[in-house]
Amino acid sequence: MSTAIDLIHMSGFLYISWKMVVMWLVAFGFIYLAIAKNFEPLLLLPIGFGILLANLPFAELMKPHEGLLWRFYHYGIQWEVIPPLIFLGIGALTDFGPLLANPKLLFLGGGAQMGVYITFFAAHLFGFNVAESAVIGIIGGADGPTTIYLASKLAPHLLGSCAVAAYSYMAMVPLVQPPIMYLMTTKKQRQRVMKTMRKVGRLERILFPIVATIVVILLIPPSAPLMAMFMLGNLFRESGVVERLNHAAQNELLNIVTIFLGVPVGATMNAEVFLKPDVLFIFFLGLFAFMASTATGIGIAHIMNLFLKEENKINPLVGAAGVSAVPMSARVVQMVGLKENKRNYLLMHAMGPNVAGVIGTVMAAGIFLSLIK
Amino acid sequence: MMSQMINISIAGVSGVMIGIFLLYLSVRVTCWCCDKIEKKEKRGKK
Repeated sequence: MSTAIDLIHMSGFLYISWKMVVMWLVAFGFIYLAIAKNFEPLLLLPIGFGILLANLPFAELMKPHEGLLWRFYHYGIQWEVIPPLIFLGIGALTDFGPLLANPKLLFLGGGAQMGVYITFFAAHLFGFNVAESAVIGIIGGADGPTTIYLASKLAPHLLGSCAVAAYSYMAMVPLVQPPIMYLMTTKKQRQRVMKTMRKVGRLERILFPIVATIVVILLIPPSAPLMAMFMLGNLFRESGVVERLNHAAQNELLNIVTIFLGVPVGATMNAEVFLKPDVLFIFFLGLFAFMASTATGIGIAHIMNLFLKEENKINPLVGAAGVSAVPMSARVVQMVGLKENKRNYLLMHAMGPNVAGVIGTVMAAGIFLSLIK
Repeated sequence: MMSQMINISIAGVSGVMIGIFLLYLSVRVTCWCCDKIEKKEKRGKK
């Protein structure tokens, strides 16, 4: 009898708190969204499961130096290994053709980063310190690995909530962006058909990752780990001579690091850390950041149109793709454009600012790292 | 503290825009060079 009682005391059942139960519900919510609604399942599913694991009493998977998930977290994220590897895979998947065909679209990707700095300011007004505000602001870049990379360096205690906010809003791009797009454009502007893109040669595609690496890293050295891997992945793709490496970066490597990223990020969200009013503010500010970045991207498109000839004018909707939720925001631009004009195919035009947004967010993160010690 | 925030914001926005502008210039130069090389190759074939 006493052995049975001992066993019950050794189990976790007696130590379940209401806070843990709340976190289980959060975890089930993520798993449900991933499986039933197909919202960013590659990330929300492992993150959701990680949240569940972090909130099981005595599991101690995040116990420093001992827990399995702590090891993933420490050696993968704190050692800054996984986010750059994710960028290697993303680089191998990225086609810079639309950007090279119309390089002025780069400015839309840069313009959308203004939302990051607006939110940075807003977060400080809500009482967050400079480093925390920077991490919250970067959510507006809509780039999960960059958010995680910056959080691990500047505010590790916000890593879980900021990463989850970033990925959640990326999944909700089709809900968040269209109202802002309609609000900031007229029907006539949304119907504008853009000029057909020129064909981009192989040499240009090969030279771009090399040139971009040199320019960006020379200007903002702290952006080197992400930028270098991103462009290396793209060089694998465009060179055409390392098909095995290209295939591995796009598939096996990206899939493996996604697992090692998702589960420990979810596991950082234990009840004690997550159930605080600050986290609600982070989610609110993250949404604000996303909306601000969308709005500034469209705003920059309007400003550019003031200086462009009639035949070269941009459909301002593509400015919304300046947030780097690739390719979701480009698809949303295509969907909204097509709704207004059945002959308006904006997808490839929107892919330009979309990939420029990735570069812009990496630059913004690098600048934060340079300026905030 | 507020002045630090303003400084970082201004430096950030201008830094990103300068970076994008430099990238734009380098892309334009690269594309121009590639175009010249391609034309030269075509002429050589003829």
